[in-house]
Amino acid sequence: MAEDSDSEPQIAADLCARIHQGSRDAEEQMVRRYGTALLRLLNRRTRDAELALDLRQDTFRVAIERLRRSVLEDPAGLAPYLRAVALNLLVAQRRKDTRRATTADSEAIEIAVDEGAGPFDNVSREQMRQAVGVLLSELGTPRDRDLLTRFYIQDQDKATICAALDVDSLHFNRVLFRAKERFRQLLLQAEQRAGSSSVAAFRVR
Amino acid sequence: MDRQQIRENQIVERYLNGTLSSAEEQAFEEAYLADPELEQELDLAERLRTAFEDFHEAGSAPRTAPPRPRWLDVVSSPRYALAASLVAAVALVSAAGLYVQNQALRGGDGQLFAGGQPRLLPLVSVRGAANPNEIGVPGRGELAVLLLDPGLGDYEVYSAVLTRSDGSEVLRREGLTPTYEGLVALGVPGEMLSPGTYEIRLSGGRRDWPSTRELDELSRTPLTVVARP
Repeated sequence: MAEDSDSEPQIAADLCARIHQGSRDAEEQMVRRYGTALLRLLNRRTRDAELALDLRQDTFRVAIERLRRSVLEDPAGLAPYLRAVALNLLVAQRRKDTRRATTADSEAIEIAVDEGAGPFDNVSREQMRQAVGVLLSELGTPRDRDLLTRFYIQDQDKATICAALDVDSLHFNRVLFRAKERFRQLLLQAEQRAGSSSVAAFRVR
Repeated sequence: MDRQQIRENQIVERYLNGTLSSAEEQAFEEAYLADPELEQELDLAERLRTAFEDFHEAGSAPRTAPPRPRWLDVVSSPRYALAASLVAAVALVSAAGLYVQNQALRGGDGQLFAGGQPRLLPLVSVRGAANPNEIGVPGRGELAVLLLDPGLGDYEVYSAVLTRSDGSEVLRREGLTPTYEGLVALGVPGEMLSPGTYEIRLSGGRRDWPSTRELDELSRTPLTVVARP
């Protein structure tokens, strides 16, 4: 049984073996473990939320069919395998191939995944904007505010920012790390105020 | 691609702004697919970027400073900064004194001036100085106005407690709000201050906090009152 405390190679190999043995529970675990990250990847590549959802669904379908039939050459590399399948499906879709051709599975698989798994799903954009205001107001120096603005708004790279503000690499890393940690705290507070997170369902059929 | 490499090279942010090479991008995508914690870190970074953009679009982001002229390097040295801090402190003291006197002439805050027509001893804290808050003992009928910097926290109301070095409480004021230049003013009648060392404890809170919640402690400022020659 895959546990969170196990390392990724162990978890991946365990999931592959169990899926090959016909475990539906392992199929669900695979979808839960990789589903959110895979959707993020596809959203980023497609810039189309609906298409990304379709491609994710097809990716899992292809992967499950394959794993039921045979084991991977490198079962520990399940994540790279899923990424490769997803990108191949995306390329096929872009070539106007029929994505639906991958839906040849005669057996319906029904898998639920927790779409509300993100810790900040109930935090609104306005709350996030306010959190940035608090974050900036708490920074020690105008220089650190300038650093974050250059990095997040102007997309300047680290070397450029360090040279312009006369700060070293360690200071840059420290400011960035603290900013993210403080932002995380502020979002957690906002999330707690928003109440319990909602759960949506995702199906692979 | 390990965590340290990702952090030190801003891989997460570079992934979000699309400046990774294709090999780096592949390695990072495989890494976060296999690591739910890293995926959450990516999620947080993406939210932070979005929030910064929203904040900027709302017009409240600080402007990026233009390239610094050379003379600014000179005047921003610690030596000049100290001198400037002292000048600013003197100016602030004077301005605060005028402000409070002006309020007195207008018949302002009766709480502060309950002791009659005071001679004012406004104070400010100067960080880095050995003993910045040393004042001569005020006479009867005088008023020391301690101006306290509440910092940049998201607070609305403050309380200030003046205690002696032995911990005994001298004065407590609740429900204070920042007044002059965003500072919190604590008026202490001269009768309450005798030579010795004191501490002012400043706490902050928000109006929508439940009454059972304690305020957050923000600062402890030392104060030394010395006998006049």
